[in-house]
Amino acid sequence: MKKNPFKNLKKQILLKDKINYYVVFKVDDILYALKTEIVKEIIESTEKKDLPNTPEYIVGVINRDNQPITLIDLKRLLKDEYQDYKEKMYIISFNYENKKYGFFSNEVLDIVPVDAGTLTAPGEELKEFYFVDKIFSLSGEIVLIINVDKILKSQDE
Amino acid sequence: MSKISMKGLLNFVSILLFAVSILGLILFFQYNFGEKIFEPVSETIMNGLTEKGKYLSLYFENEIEKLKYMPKNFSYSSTETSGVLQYLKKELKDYPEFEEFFVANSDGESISSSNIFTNISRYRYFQEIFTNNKKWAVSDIFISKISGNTSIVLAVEYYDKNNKKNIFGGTLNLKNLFLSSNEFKFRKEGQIFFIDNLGNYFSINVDGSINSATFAKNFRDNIIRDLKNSNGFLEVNKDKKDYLLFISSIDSIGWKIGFYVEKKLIMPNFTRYYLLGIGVLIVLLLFEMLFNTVILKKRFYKSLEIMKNELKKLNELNFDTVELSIKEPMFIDFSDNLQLTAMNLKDNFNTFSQQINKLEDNIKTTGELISEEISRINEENDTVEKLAKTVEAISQSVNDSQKVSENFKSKLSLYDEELERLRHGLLKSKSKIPYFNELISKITEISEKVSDLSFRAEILSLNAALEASKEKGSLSFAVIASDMRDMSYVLKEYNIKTYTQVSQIIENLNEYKGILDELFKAIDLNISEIRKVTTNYSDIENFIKEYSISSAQIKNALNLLKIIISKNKSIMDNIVKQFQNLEKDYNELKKVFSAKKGPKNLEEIFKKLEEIERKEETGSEFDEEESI
Repeated sequence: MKKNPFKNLKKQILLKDKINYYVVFKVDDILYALKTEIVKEIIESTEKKDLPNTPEYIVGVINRDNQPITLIDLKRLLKDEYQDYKEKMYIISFNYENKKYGFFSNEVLDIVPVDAGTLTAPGEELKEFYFVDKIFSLSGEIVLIINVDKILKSQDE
Repeated sequence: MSKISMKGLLNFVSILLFAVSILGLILFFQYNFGEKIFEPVSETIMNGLTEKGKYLSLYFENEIEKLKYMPKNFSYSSTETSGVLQYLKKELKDYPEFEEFFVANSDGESISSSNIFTNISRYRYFQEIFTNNKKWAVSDIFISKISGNTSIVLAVEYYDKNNKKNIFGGTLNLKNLFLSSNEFKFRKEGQIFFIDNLGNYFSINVDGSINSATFAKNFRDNIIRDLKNSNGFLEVNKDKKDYLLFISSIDSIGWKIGFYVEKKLIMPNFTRYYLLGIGVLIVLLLFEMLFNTVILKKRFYKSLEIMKNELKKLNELNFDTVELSIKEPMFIDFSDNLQLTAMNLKDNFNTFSQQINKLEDNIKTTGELISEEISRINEENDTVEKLAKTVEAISQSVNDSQKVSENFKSKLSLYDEELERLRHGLLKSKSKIPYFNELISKITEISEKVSDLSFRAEILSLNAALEASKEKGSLSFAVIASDMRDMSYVLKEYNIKTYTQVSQIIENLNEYKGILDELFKAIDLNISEIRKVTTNYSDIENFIKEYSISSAQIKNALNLLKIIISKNKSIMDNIVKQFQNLEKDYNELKKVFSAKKGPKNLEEIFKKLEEIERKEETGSEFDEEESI
């Protein structure tokens, strides 16, 4: 995966204001993206604890610097199946309403800059992905941008 | 014997019986009457002899009396010798039976009329008269010197005037007396003999002289032992001849007179009776001939002829035409029985014919059975031959197997050694595996650590990129972050490669280990299999050995079987020969029956049948032997 470090640099310099950065990761062979602005950090998976009386997609909680991070399983949001939670998984941690949440994945592809103009709305075929606002293409593959509000608001509701 | 006809034999026997009975009768009469006739004859002879003895005794007594009572008015005296001599001579003329007279005294002095008185045997009568005081005495006999005849001295006592005892005696000439005695015969047979008082035996010759060599001496023992030296008669067998012996005494002088005669010479003559018997026999013969021709021919032989003819029919097996009608009372029972026999014989013959037919069937069946048996024996023989060949082939195979097995055994042991060597090598290889495992675990550990590092580096680079994205103005940080990302990617890539290779090595090692284990197991299995095979091989070897022995035994058994079959064959040949003879005999018999001629009587047929039966029995014996 050898890349030219200057290839995107020029693009970044030129489209500095119109560019947003996204963390791209894969869950159940689907590429998802989360805006880096809300991402707190990417951490290694540690031992989790189960949380009772929570929605099905919340699979547990881990402790990070004495602060809990609630783990959301994207696969469970769409199907009745869970991802295996194990060692050396990536937890993409983000803040939402002063709480820390995290998606977990086996693979984090990259942190990519995306031109806002290239973003498109998801089509009818992606209707079931209710928590996706926009989509974009990366190396010929579709990346779904997650709107955490849609996930966590529905929880609140 | 068989050449003489029955009739001739009967006649011969009857004539013989007649002859024997007639001659026997005559012989019986000869002996029976002989005994009866003999007793009176012997009595007559005995009486005659007794009379003779008495006469002789009386004669001597008379002569003695003469001497006693002769007037003797003289005495012995030498002075008067002439007077005495004259007297003696004078007296001699009156007593011609005396040859001389003499006078003697007790001293032995004597005067004799003849002057030749020799005093022979003087001692005896001297002793008798002077010592024993007897009135008279006799001397032993002697030959007179005067006449030359046999004589005896008679002496008596007398007393002279002086009352002196003297002897007066005379020499008595015995010639005439003996000759007259010699005339005593029975039917001109027999011989007179004398025994004097000293026990001497003598007879009298025809000239009046005595014969001391008389045959009567031979009877001495009988006279002493059986007659106790007294009178009587007895039968004596001497020199295989029967003699009648008679003894009577001459009391006066103590002598005995005897008579012997050959018994057969005085028995009645039966020749004429024998002639008479022969005559009677001839008459009887004539009568028999008459009876034969007249009565027997008319009645007996006629009946016999009828029976003969009917028996001939029987002989020719013409049972239906046999008709026995004999009215002769003597043969009625016989002919009835014969008729009955003919009927029985007919029935028997019919049964017999049926039996013959059965026999024919049996012979046929036996013939078929024999041919079957022969073919069976031939088959057996072929089978045994084939078996022998098969056994030979099997024996060859067994020998080959033995050789192959020897090869196999040596190869097996080689293979076993090789496998053992391989196992040893494998064991060495296996011992290296834990070392490899340790190495792999170390590599894995390093790889894990590298992986961990790369993961951490990736997270770090991601977070750097994240932070750089948030800081939109700081491009240099973004570049560093991007470099870090690249580095982490490179690290990750190599780590993944290393991991993959290590995994492959582990996998290969495991596979190698598995293969080694399997190989090990396979070798162990092979070794155990080889051991098993070796064990089995010993069994096979034993089996081959046993089989070799068994095959030899089978060979022997087959040879034995061959011998038995050849014996069976020879027995069968014998049976066939016997059977052919049997068939031949049966065919002859059949011919005889169909021709109704040939054998002269049933006996021959029965003989033939017996022969056939005997052969059949022999055949069946053969069969039994075979079936054994």
